[in-house]
Amino acid sequence: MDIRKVKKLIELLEASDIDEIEIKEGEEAVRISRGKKGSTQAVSPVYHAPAMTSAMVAPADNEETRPISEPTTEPRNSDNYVVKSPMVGTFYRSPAPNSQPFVEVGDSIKAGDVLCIVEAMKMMNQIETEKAGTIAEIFVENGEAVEFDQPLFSIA
Amino acid sequence: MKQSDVLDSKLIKGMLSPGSLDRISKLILLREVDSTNSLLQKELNAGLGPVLVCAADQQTAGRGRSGKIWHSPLSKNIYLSISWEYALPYNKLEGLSLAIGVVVLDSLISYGYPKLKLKWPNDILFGDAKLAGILVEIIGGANSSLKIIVGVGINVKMSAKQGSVIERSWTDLSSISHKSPPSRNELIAKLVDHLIDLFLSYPEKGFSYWRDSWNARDSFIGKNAKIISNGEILSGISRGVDSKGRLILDSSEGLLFIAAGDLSLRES
Repeated sequence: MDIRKVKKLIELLEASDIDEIEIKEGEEAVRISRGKKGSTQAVSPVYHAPAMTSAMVAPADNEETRPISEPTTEPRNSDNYVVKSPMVGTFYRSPAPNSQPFVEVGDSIKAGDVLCIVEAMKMMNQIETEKAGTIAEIFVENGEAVEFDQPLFSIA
Repeated sequence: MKQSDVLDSKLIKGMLSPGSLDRISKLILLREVDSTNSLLQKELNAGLGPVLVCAADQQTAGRGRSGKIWHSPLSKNIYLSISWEYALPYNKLEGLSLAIGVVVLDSLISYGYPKLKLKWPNDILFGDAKLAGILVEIIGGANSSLKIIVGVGINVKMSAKQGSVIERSWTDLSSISHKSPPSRNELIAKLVDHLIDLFLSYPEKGFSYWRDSWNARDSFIGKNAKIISNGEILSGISRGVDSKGRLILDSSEGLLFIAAGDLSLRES
């Protein structure tokens, strides 16, 4: 099953009062239930150990009964536009350690504004927004490791 | 400064390959600039490009990664930036920053500087002294084309006094050989030609093509190394890089593949 589909299901679950969803598609099935607090360890990213990174994705494809705990970094309001990391890297909110962040929650932004830098192997990627609006949430702390497709900002 | 050392667009254009000349929309040479990378970003934002080249005699706000200063006094050093554009997703460019390190190092070796090595991901060292640094900046959204700015700083000739503010050990081309260094115009033309060749071929070849070349030039391969990554110290034996350009560290926890983090690498 496509990982994006699984993500979508998680988002659906989050936006609802349902505790568990089970979907069958041919021979594949996936059940997603709200994890207990403290069980988020299973999906916390380990950026310097890719063996664990791929293990992190495995439950979505193979283990139909394993609950996927609720990611803490998913947006609260599903109507908001979510800017995701295009790569594995380190997230920086400002161009240099002592300078002002590119954006803060509540800032209004226009398409093409730089929101953050994600660094991978000394390539400093200035992530632009493609949507104008207001920064509703910032999901990642400065200097944290981010995974591919991890939500960084939501824009209302 | 001798006449031949003055940055000269006619001289540079005369030494560029016809293919490179065709592609470059603008060659900007300046006596002084805040940062050649910053200038190219402004030019790109103003709609110029996609292929721009800028070199300067002096940078007043030369940058390394993470806001670090690249010391750029008025000297015979190279402060060079070149921009490019790709209509590709980020993952196609994985490892590009390392391949750029190989290309810059080989451009220098072609002048007979034989003992140059790389430090992950792309510092150029002579012994343990830093000779050149590379900063790659990419601008883009998840679905738009990617604009790339590559900044190359090479210490060609800098006095001990000028370099005294640099905290780490450094060297310059004129100190590591008895020969006089190549003229900056010639070196800039060579670097631009080689970088354009790399930009053209990279999406098809990817980093796997460059991996062996990178590892052959690695100053740390087989040595004990320590990496400080977001406050966490990882140590082990450096095993070079994998086909994505990630540093392989043979640690007590097994092999670690390091792609990201605030890294420094040193022999322990």
